[in-house]
Amino acid sequence: MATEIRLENAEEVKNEYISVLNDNLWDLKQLDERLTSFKRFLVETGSSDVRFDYESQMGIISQIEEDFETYKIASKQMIDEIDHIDSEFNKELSACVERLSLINIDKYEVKNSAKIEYMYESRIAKNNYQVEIRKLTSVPDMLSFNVLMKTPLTRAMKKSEYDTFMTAILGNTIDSEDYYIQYINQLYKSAEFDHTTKAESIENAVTNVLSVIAIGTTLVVISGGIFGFAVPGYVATVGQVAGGILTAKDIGHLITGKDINGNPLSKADRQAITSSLIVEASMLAVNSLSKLKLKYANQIDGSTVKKLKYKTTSGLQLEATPGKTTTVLGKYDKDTKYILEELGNIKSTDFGPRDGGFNLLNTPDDLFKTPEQFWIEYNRRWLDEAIARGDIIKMATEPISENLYTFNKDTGLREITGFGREYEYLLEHGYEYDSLTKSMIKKGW
Amino acid sequence: MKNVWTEVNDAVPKYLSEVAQMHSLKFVKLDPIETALVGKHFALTIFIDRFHVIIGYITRDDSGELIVYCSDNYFSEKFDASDRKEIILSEVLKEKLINQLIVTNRGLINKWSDVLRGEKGWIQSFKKSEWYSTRRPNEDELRVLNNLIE
Repeated sequence: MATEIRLENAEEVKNEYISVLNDNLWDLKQLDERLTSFKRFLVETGSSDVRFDYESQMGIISQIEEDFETYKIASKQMIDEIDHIDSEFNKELSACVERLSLINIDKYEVKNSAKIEYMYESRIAKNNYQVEIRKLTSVPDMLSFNVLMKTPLTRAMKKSEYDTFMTAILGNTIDSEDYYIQYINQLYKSAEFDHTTKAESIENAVTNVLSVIAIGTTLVVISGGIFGFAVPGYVATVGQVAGGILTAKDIGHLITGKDINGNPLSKADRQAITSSLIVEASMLAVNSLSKLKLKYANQIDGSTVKKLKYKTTSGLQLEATPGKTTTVLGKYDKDTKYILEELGNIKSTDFGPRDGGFNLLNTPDDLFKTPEQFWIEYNRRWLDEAIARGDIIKMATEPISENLYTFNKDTGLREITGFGREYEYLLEHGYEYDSLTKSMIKKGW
Repeated sequence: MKNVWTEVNDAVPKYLSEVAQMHSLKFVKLDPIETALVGKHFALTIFIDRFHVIIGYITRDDSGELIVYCSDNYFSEKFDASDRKEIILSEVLKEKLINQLIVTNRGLINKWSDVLRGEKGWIQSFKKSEWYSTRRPNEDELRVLNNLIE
């Protein structure tokens, strides 16, 4: 029988959870792109120093993203409609989280074809409980990313970054093993990437590697939270687990209520479980809406909003018309950003009708590549649908030169804006602008 | 939520540090994709749009209310090859936007020092140009800048 779970402050928890997951999905997509481009870079340059193999995981990531888009949409209705959920939904949710866990960072290793020496410390027990520490070197066949970061080659590549880091925290740089480890841990935490020139590709790729590990551990922590696993306090930050990577096997230990060393969990750990359960409740709640999404599918996003509070720069107070879809055009920086925010900022490639509601183009972020690509693949298709339906078309932004054209700062060329393309496309299809009603009207109607 | 545009916006203080230092402008984040460089009597806004970096200028009008001069094209039209030197053209969205920040930094310094010094004579010329457009500040701009611009 399903276990009933009562939700408290669901809205707050849900928003927090969605924000965390979105950030992680974004990081994953970025990593996938970077690792793919790094592999391409090595192939193109014929580099033999590092052999690196990576197969894009974008299929899995896209599936996860699609799931969460559904959850986000559905959860808008959840707050009003549901205050009880049951454990049945956990199964579906678990499948989703499992897909997250399929992104296995453990398998990413570099073949040490360049025969890079790896320095390590060996601790040898002596008499009287003394320990002798010897510094040794080896030439392993494979280098994990963690090891790779500590090789002389990588250190040389990252020297300037390390010096900057040291100067920032100490005022000057020091060549020290301890500080280097501290720097690496810092990288784990920030997992930053600043790709600016091709020459830095290898260096950046090494940082990417750290990102994979960092995000991998973050996912494990989050997954633990989602399932209500016992996430020990010491797994609180990515930096704290920089020395090792938690795997599915480790999670198995956590489920048993013992830490990865097999020791019983402490009071602090149990508190961590409690906080994890909050996240679990949120996930369950969000997931539960998948059952209701069909019921509410035609009422979500802007469709249920009749009149907007936002006043457009063209002077409109937008109001929907029953039985008709009101398509709204405008510049993102001046108007549509704020309208979309009021409508809940739901991203979708569903260009279908919004009877009695508003229709604005708001596709997922990763679909934006170039203005031409976006226009051809999405914007024009979206507008074609609006034209075919005979939508009411409102102009949130005035179609004047400043809004229709832009100077591309990196080329100096005068280009048409996205809003300009929409406006001209409508003119080409027999529309004209009515400055009184701020509408695009089909000539002869 | 992180995305290309929020990341580029986070990098605005890095890429416009020169113009800010030269004219004692203070960076203030207005929202996840908009940052202001605030002076005594005005602010320049940098909005990270989908494919473009958009410059705006906010000051007070005769009645003391904040007004936004949508001066992106007016400013950008003057940017030239000297402002774009050493830019490595890219088709990667983030790199394109970063390039635009670099050009904006140089272009403002090289071509619009009067604006940066707080002079307002340029507004008269702007009013006569093809690009003239104004609007009232949005909620974030008003909330943050109303107390900062004298």
